[in-house]
Amino acid sequence: MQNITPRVFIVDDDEAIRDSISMLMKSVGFEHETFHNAQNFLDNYDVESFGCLLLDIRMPGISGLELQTKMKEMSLDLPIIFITGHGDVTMAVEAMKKGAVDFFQKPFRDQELLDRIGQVFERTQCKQQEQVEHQQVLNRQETLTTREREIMSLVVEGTGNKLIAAELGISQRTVEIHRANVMQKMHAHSLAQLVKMCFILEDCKQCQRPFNCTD
Amino acid sequence: MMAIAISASGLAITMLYHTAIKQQTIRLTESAQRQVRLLKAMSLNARFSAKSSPGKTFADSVLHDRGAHELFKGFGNTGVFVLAKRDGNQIHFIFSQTLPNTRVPASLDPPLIVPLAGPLPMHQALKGNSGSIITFDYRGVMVLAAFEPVAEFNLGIVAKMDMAEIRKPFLRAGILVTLATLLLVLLGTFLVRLIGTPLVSRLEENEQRLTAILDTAADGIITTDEHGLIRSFNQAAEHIFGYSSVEAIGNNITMLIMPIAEPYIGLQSSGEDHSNNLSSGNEREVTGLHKDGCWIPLEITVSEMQEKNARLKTCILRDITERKQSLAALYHREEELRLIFENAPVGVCICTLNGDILRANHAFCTLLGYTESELLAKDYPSIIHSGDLRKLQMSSRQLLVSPSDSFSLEISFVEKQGLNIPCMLRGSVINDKNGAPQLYVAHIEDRSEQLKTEQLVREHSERLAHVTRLSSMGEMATSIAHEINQPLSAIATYAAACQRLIDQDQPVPNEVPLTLEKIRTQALRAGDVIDRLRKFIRNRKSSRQQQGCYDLITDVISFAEVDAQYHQVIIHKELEPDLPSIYIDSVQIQQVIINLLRNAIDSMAKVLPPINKEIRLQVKRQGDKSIEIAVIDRGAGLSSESADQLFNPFFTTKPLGLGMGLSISRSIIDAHGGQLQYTSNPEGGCIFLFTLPIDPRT
Repeated sequence: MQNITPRVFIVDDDEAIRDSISMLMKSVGFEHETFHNAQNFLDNYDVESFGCLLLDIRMPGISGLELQTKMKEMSLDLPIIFITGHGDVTMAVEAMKKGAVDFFQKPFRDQELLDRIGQVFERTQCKQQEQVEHQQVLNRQETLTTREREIMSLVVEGTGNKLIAAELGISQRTVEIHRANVMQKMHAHSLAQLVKMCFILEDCKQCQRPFNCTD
Repeated sequence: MMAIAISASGLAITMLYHTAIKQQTIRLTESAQRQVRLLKAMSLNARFSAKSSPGKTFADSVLHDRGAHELFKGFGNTGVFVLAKRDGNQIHFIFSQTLPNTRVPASLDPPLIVPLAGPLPMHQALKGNSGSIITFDYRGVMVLAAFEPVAEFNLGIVAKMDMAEIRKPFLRAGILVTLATLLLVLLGTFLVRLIGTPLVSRLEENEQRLTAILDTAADGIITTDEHGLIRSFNQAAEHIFGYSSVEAIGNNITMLIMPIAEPYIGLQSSGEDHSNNLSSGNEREVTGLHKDGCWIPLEITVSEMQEKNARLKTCILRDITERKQSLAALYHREEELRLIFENAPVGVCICTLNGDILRANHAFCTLLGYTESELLAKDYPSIIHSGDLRKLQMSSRQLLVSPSDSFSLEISFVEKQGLNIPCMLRGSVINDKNGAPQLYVAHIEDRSEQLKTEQLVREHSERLAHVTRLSSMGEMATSIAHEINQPLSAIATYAAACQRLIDQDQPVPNEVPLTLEKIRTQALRAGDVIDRLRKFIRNRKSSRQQQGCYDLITDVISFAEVDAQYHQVIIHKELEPDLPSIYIDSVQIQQVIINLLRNAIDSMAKVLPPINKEIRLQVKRQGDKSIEIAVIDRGAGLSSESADQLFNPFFTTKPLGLGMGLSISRSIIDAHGGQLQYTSNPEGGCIFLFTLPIDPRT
């Protein structure tokens, strides 16, 4: 299970803005970090950390939109909420197209911003929960023998013990033993749970997604 | 030749000689016969009168005869008359009549007696023969003798003459003639040498020259007889037709020249009519046939000449293939030039120095809407705008005396319907060989499009300047907004944070007073920004000055006109008389009016007829203290929602608008102490009006 809490990363060249937002975050108990420009953020960002980026569009040096592009190039998967001093529709559209979560115009309503951050965090946590669960299922699957895997895939397809025995050329009794082992090793309390786990496994196989939170 | 002359004269002399001998012979014969008759007559006489004895009779007769003879003059120098008697075998010459100078005595006393055997003519006579003979006499001299017998007395009569005497004149004549002939021949030869040789050589030379001329003549020269048979054929003709002269001569000329060539018919026929057609020097084109079968275009000149009985025709032929080709090439080139002239994209017009139009190409005709013939009938002043006429005349005249070879002039032409067409005219002069001006050539380019383009460019650049100006205003506004937004945003966020801290059911954390302090700082920061902005606007006030309304409006319209024309919008000025002057920053106010006019033009751009695209720019007094300027359009108008937000920054109804124009305009008018308002036009469209205070000093 992951223990790191999500964090709000604030990037704005205006100190008052940075300070006031960090104050706001503090008031609601969000972990946060401030950076006075994009480069500073890139230099100090810990890839292991996660959460949400509050990004000013207009900044000297690397602008907010440029940072967004760079992060994409670097495969930094951090949700971005843009905060801008003036409404610029084209910029907003571009930012959203590139996958920004939201676009706030200064002065913004604090509750709206906080709600949005909350949503992002929730989503991030769900995702992480999911990832953890997937990893568990994968780990459990690793403990299965080849024969047990065979029997599991036949079981989730709804094949009866008799047929499995006939197909694999083993006795029905042996099938039953293997089946009980599979249920135990996979921590499945019902056939339905097993089926669900198999779906997850199927998903993982398809996505070929590496799980980097395996501690 | 000399021999011929001599022999000819010799022959003539000989013939004369023979004739003379014959005549002499006849004379001698007659003489002899006369003598015989005389003797006979005398003997008869004697016999009758005297009845003398025969012997006496004879003697008397002879005596008489001798007497007669003595009276007889004889003939020539050597002519002799001899009477002889045969006496047995002897000849007894009785007498011989002779003239003085003769060798023979007139009377033979005693008579000469010779034997009968002599070869004498007397011999023949005594034998009883009569005739004539050329022989040697007893002296051994060749004589011509006629002999007659007198049978009664046994006498013979001979009349003889020395051949030498007869020959003598002939010999002399012969020698003379020969000499004369020799002399003549020599003289002739000399003369021939003297005169003939140069003459001949000259003739020869002439002939050679003629032959050379014929052979080196560039033109083919063929002579034919009246039937068309070729008599001569020179080298050039050989070259033209490919036949050698040997092949050609004797053939009919129709072999060489197309019989269908009508002018040549005269050559073949001997009829007078045709030859009359072919008067000398008549050049015609005919088609010749080369030996290899090719047709050759020829130019033929036929002349006729009379040679003894024959009428000859001389045909001078020239191969005009090259000329034809070069003519064709020339024609082609001319055609090309004509096409270039005709199809030139610019108008081209050729005029005399007096300005009469000689030629005008299609583009020029099209430009003016005339046909070429209509245009050629026109006077040049009638197609040129009267105001430009003098300019053109001056430039044209200048061109004739100045070293430059062309001039460019912007002038307007008047087309058929009377409309003016602005053109660029490039005039140049064509000089003749001696460099004297001959013609004007004018290139006329329609500048309407160019002007339109120029106008567009100008308009675009103006627009660009306008947009730049506006966008810099927009930029300023944006940065002001941003600058104010920053502290406001910080204040809001700080406040929110404080509120949350306070809301937590805990004693107020230490941060709250600190944060309140920060809020105050940010509020002051925002105030600073606004102060800066105010200062900025205050700085702009310095450029205000007194300005007449009319000038202001005129300036404004000159700026807006371009845009208006482009969109085919007409701006009507409606200015009250006696408008006071106003105290304004004229650039700013112009900007405001132009902005309003542009909005009006834009709003009318989409409007279609029947509504007239008209904008009314009204200026009138409003009370004593201000004037009111209104821009009234008949455009699309505004919805009520739009009307509410009209003066908000960033509000725009234009796809590319910045939404700053009206907001800035309002602030400018505000700064001038006036008011900018919008009302909808009851006729459709918008009315923007603003007031400006009258300059109190007026």
